[in-house]
Amino acid sequence: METPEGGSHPTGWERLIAAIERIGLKSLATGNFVWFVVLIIGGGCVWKLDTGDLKEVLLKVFATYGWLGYVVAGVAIFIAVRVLRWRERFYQQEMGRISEVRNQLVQAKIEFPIQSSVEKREEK
Amino acid sequence: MTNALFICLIVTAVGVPAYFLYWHLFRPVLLTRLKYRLYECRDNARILFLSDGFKEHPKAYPLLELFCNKSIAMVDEVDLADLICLKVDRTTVLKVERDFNIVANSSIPIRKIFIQWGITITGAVLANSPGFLIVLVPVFALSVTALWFTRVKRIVLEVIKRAAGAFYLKPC
Repeated sequence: METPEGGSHPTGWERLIAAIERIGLKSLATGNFVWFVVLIIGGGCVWKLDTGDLKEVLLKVFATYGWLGYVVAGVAIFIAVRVLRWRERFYQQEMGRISEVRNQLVQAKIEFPIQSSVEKREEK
Repeated sequence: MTNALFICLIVTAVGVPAYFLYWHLFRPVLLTRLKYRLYECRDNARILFLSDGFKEHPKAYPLLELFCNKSIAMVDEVDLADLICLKVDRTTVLKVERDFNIVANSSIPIRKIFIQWGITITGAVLANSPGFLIVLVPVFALSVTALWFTRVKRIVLEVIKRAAGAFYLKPC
């Protein structure tokens, strides 16, 4: 079957491959492929391990290394506070820059060469 | 196998907070910062235009305006997967080359604005694709040391041209 441009329509198989390719690239770009890998390896281990070993690993993680959760939470809160402070700082800087640009324009009594779409509509 | 499961659980326990912290806090704030920088680029270009800075290079101003406007529109979602996936035809690549040459042959302030724009949009693309960064940085370091700079530079320039072509083809 041909398209109006003269090319042929992709078959279902080709579209499926293109979709998988896109999902793969997207997960590679966002870094989400790490979760797939962890899920597959972890799932495989849980499936293959017997109950005793599973219990031992879970005890080791939650009882022996559980306290590390407090460290992770502390670091997360510290980073969050720093990021929010940074946001506040550069927001103030941007406001200062905007008022400076406005002052320059007012003092020189000139206007931007680009009209907004609203202004264009008003002129019409 | 117990060790593998142990590592998986630790990676999950540390990775989940890191994931949320990055995607829902750090990245939006970083993108806002980059957006402000793009506004600054556009304002600088406009002020330069008003002070007759584009008199000798009139073709450069619409290009800078277009680059900034397109970047502001797509800074939140543009990533390397988007730019690589899009098929770019030869005409667009030639158009990119021509436009880049126009800017490269213009005055120093115009080039400064262009470089600032380039750094900002590259930052946005990398912020939206941290996975590529994790995977590609070792590959890139190896290729620089193994193939040496000229060849890597040529490959990188070709990739940049293709990415810019994809950027051209995206709707504003």
